[in-house]
Amino acid sequence: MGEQWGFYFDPNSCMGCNACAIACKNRHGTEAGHVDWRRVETVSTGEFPDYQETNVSLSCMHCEDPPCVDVCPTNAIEKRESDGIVTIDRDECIGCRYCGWACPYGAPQYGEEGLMQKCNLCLDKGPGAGADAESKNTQEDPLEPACVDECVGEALHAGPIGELMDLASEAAARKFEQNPTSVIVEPQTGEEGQAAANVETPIPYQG
Amino acid sequence: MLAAESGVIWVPRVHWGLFIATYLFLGGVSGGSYVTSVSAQLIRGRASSDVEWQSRDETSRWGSLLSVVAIGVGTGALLYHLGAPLRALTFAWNFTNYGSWLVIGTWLIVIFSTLATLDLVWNFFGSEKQGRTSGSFFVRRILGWIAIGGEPVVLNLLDRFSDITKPPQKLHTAIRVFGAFLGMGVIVYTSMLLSDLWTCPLWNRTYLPPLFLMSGISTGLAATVAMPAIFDGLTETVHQYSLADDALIVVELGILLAFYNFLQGRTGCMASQATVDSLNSVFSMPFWVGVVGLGLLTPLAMSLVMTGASALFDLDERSHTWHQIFRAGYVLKYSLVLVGGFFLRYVIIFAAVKLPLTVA
Ligand code: SF4
Ligand code: SF4
Repeated sequence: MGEQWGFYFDPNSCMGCNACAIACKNRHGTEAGHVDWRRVETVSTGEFPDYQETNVSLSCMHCEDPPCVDVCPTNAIEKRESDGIVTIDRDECIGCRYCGWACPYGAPQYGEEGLMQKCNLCLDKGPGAGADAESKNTQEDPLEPACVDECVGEALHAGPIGELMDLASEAAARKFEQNPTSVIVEPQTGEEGQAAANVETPIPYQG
Repeated sequence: MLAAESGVIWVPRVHWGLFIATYLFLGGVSGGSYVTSVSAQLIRGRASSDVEWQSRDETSRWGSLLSVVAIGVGTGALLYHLGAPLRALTFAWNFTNYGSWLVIGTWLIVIFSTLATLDLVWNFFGSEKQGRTSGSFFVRRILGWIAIGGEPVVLNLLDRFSDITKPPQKLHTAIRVFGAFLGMGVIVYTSMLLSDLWTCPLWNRTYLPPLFLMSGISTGLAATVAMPAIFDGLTETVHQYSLADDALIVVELGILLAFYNFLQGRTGCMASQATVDSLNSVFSMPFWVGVVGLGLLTPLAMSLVMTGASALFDLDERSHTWHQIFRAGYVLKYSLVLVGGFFLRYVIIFAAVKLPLTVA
């Protein structure tokens, strides 16, 4: 098994400018409007005087044990052994949208043609691209994800999890250990310096 | 795309629409029709008169026909919804994830519809069915119109096919009983497909399967028994099935209310609360009026009034006027059960809320 790749996100550095989402759209030429591989949400937490706003940039989490893979009838979705990136082979997809319901993050997107597309950690450009791409670990000059490239606040990084961990604070690393996705999220530091924000995976309420 | 609220991010959920609701509904009707069909055949021998025997015989044939029609139209609705329907037609090769309920369900449906279609041929065609004219045999009349040089070719072909393939009566019955279990499997599958996902509290593994099973058998029964009521008029059999349907409706109502209560009681789960809220706001019409009012309570009340009235006032249903009134009453009742069954699937799909992401 090759080293697993993922994202690192620090909401403290994110200004909610949407540059990542737009860069992603540009690189992959995704449909305007309802197809968003990456999107930025502003979430308000707490009440005055502890009120604060948190910007969260979300895409496919490249989950460790992806529920989308479990439900896909044709095995069109794959969690790659070689680099941990979750890809979609659009030649296999029947467009049933079952994965859309299974994914807790709303990552799978469906364009006009009704087939699934989502973030491929920029293995390649365009919807469906990258399914059979060489492992990020062995590519000579792996493409830097557009969102990371264009991030104004340096809030987003991508790479092998081991390298990303060097960027992470202790709290973020601890969170990551409990989080079944491949995204390391930095806790937000509130005004008073207390750790306040993190994106939590919803907990299955029925086992 | 996402609606943000204090501390949470709501995840959008607009993946399935009317066609999937229709598919789930018709899957239930199909399985239920087949179960009704087999049950009518099994109780046929104990009919009190020729009229009743005939009525059960007809009910059994109607159920056989409707199960095939419903699953056919339902599968069409599913395919229509897909992004690449042609790829789904080659499911035998490319549906390789046997852990997915979509794959399990596809195979269930394929085996069930193959069996139900064969059974339909045996029930409607063959030399001993020639010249039969009762309501359900309209199928033969229609196919008889397709003629080349005055010969009803399709009809002849089907008759011949039935004569050659039809198993002896006992084996045929055994196959049908097996088919009834498959039919129930199809109904339950429609609930497993949803409840296999943990993202929506409304797609609950405990409540949804029994709810869909009751509703599926109830709607299939309603569709099936409405047919002899429309074509041949009222018989004891129509009454008896109506009472059986009432029992199913009571159980279904109980499960539904228990489920609602369960969701309402999950105060710590924002998605459950949001689901209950939507059932009481955006979806209050389809849910409270469509499912509960029109689909469950009204049919029960109608049954109560009709059964009560004919017992209390000793109405002679053989008198033409009363016969027509009751006949219309039962047909309306069964239609409402179907309307309610559809609204149930509609609500279960559209009112489902995904667990939000929390930013705490
Ligand atoms: S975030 Fe969603 S689409 Fe991405 S791997 Fe996880 S379940 Fe699949
Ligand atoms: S929409 Fe495509 S990728 Fe998603 S579950 Fe269906 S077949 Fe698989």
